[in-house]
Amino acid sequence: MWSRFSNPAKFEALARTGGPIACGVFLLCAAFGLVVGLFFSPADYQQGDSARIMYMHVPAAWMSMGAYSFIAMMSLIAFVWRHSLADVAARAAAAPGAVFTALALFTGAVWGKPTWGAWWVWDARLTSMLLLLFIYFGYMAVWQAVPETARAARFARILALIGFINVPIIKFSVDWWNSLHQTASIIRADGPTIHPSMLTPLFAMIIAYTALFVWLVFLGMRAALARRRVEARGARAPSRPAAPAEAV
Amino acid sequence: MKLGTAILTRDLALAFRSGGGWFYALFFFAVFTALAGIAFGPSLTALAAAAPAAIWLAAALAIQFAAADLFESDLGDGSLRVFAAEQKSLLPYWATKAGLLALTAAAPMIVAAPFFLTMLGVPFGRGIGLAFLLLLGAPALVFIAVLTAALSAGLRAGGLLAMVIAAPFAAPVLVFGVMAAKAFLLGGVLVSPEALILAALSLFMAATTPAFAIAALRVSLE
Repeated sequence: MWSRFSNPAKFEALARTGGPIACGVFLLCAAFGLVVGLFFSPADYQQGDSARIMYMHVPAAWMSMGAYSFIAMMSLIAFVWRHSLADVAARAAAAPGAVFTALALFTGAVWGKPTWGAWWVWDARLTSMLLLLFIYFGYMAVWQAVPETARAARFARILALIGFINVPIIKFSVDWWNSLHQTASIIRADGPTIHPSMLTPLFAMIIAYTALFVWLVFLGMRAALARRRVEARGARAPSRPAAPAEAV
Repeated sequence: MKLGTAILTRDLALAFRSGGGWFYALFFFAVFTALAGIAFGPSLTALAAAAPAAIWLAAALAIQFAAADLFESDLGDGSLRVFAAEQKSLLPYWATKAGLLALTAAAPMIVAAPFFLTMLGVPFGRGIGLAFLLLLGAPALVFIAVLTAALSAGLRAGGLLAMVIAAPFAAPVLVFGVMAAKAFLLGGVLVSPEALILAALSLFMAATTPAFAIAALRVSLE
């Protein structure tokens, strides 16, 4: 299944149709989720309207983990089967994943201020998300630091995989750290179980975020492939300016 | 194995003869501890509360800095290429470099830690206990430093990149190192669950990082 799309031309065809579909799903689901979530779902009985940021926050946190898992999976595929397209996919997922992580942290801070009374607390979840953001930074820095793409890809695979092995360790360590040293004064947001009237828009937003991620990865991969073609063309005819890329 | 001992003797001789390379990590450790003392203020009770955090931060940073140019000379003069071509596995080479870092950076710090801890208001006897905890956790820091040094070998601003990569990996070691130190200072329990997890982290890093570090070294040779 994977090897079928490791052919860049076939992938290009997939991305040309898949990208706009993902974009459409994102727009529809985001419109539905935001309108229902912000206007038609009931306000939380404890937190009032501030709990509505959940519709931005929960999917972002979900996708920050999902995007990293995607990067690790693609890195494993690239590591084992040497599909260079998997490297391209992993790289294209890094920036959206980091932005999702940062968005989860930011919306968490905005939510935390009225709920917990502080922008930031050293809660285990917040801390592990912050460390995940650092892992994203390190991963992106490796891609930036190595000039040759092929070598950068190999370094990045190694880092993505060892990072993935360590994510549970980090999670476990901050859980332990927090459970002994954090006073129980924090009102947990997940007190009441979520009613279907809130769950439906939340699910719509999760689908929207996932579709947005798929669309962004497709866009990033197509851009990377186009850049690769332009560079190859420039290398063949260095005197001429690079012509616009066509389908190979 | 013969190659391993040869490289280790060579690197140790280099470290001792080239203007005290083995001394840098210890020196950094001392300067960091002194700066921590200045930053936390002269009150010895306040210092004793901050001492576990200061000592573990100092150790993590010193080991990370000491590893910055671990592979540079071997990569630059081509000897790493020769080793990689001659040897079936780079594992002995990796073990040599980890041992070098442990001997030149970690060991002097662990030995000196009780003395510096008295500056931070921790009695000498207690300081020996904290040094023992450092001994449990330092291997994990060494393995992380070797891995990040291999991942950034031969790159511009590689040391800085290594720091960025190492930060999330070192976080669990810091968490359990400081918690084990506090459990010892406040509760008097040396072999606390946290100390055992610290040792477990060292074993975990010993098991997982060599393959990745060697793969990274092979990439840096291409």
